[in-house]
Amino acid sequence: MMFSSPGHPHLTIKDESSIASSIPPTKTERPYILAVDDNWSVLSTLMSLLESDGYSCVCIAESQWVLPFLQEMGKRGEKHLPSLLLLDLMMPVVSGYDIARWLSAHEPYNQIPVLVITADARVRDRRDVPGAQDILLKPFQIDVLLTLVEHFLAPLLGRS
Amino acid sequence: MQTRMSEQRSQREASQEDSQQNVARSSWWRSALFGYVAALLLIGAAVLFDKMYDYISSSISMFDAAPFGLVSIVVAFLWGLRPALFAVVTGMIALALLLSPPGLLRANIGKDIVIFAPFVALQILAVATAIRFEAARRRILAARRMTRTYAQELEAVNQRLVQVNEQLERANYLKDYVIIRSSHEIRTPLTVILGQTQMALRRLKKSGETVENWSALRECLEAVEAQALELRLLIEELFDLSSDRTGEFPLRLAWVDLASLSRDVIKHQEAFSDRSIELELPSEPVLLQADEKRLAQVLVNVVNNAIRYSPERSAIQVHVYPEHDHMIFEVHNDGRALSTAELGRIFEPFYRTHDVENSAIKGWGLGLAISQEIVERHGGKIWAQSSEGKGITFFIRLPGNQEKPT
Repeated sequence: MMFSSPGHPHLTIKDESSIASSIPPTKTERPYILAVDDNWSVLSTLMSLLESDGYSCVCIAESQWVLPFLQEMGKRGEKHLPSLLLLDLMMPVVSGYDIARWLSAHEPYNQIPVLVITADARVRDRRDVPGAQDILLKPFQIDVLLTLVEHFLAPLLGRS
Repeated sequence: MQTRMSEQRSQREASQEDSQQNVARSSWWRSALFGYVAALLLIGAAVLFDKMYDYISSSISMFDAAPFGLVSIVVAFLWGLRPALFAVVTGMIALALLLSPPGLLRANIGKDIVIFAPFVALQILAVATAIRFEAARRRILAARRMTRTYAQELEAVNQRLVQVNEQLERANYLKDYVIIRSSHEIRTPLTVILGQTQMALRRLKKSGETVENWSALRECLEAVEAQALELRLLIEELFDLSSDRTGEFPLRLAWVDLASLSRDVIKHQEAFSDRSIELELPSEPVLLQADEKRLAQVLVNVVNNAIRYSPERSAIQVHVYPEHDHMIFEVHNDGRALSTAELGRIFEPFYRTHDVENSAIKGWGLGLAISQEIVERHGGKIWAQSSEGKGITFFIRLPGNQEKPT
């Protein structure tokens, strides 16, 4: 149980081949935000926050599916890649560090801005996480999160 | 720490006694009593020597008293003052009675004293010098032995200090690690609490107290409550771990029947998990001095772990039995076997095995760390055994009490 998007809150990905069939292309057209956190409560809070502000959102709770998902979206075309990635760091199986590092090293995924949202207070700024554009420490103020999200998405949405 | 130090102290005392005993043991033949006997024998030998000398070479006369002086000095060296004075007196008597020309020591006492007194004085002086010399030598020897013993003790103490230091460093590292992990674990539910409340407030501010907003508020409050409960549980566990370590709150010891406590815990865990647990208990009540609430917490922890980390419907066995003057509480499940490295770490706070960490089974990895603290505070021990195909068995050994309450 790890995938959620507006209208499809409880999709399940069992293997890589099911990603294509379980996620309709209309749900992954830009602009949308991909949120990754192993804690489901945090993830659903993030989702309702972003959706209440009018953003479209896809959530993944099991980090091992992030890269297969992005690669599948990459196949669909660049406009299916998320406009922003909200990424937790300390996750089982595949850590946020690994995901950020991989993205920054691969075209066209290095175009996706990465906003790290972590509970690890030892992470102080974006230099601590190679590949991250910014860091937000949990628990965060929602205005700060929404301001940051707006900052990253403004160019894409044509807002000033 | 305290027990370790007193242990060291008693060891040091023991080794001191030991070294004193060594001195005594090595010089058993140098006791004063043996000295008197030896003085008599040596004087006998001196008399014999004089007689034989006179017999063999009557042409050159020898100073008859000389061997007796020698005996006195030897006795002084080996047995000290009293046997030496005894040798001087006995030697003079032997000399007078057995060797002197007839008439000496009998006819004219004044003349005798003039003849013997300087020799006796000389002997006493020599004896005193010998005794002082010997005493100084012994003091040096004893000091050298003591220095050697102290050096060895110091070496042993140093080694123990190095070990204790390593333990302290490890404990200190664990403490910092616990604080860092705790703050991380606390931040996560707080994120939800803060996010949900701020979102609800924002919504109310934006569109007022509409019916939809009230139902959204209800959802938000439910999420907040769930996370607050989670937070409370975490804080309780952290508190237990910490207070058991510092021993801040004394155990409330009373007579507890381990058999009936086990029965209650297992009944509750069975109802809670819908699993059946085989329980084997001694027929007699098993009375222990324990804090019932804390001990129950340990039993719940290990039984609950056995349920959570074993396949559905697999068997779980609990066995309570005496072993010498201890009682054993044993829990077995058919979960995945743990490696030696994992077995070595499962009692560390926040440690969860790799596959459990990556599974859906919730938990912080504090239960076993807390259980270990509680069991050790009761003077007991907790450990686990596991091997491929044989599942995992946890053992809790608690000191049994022979005396039954009246």
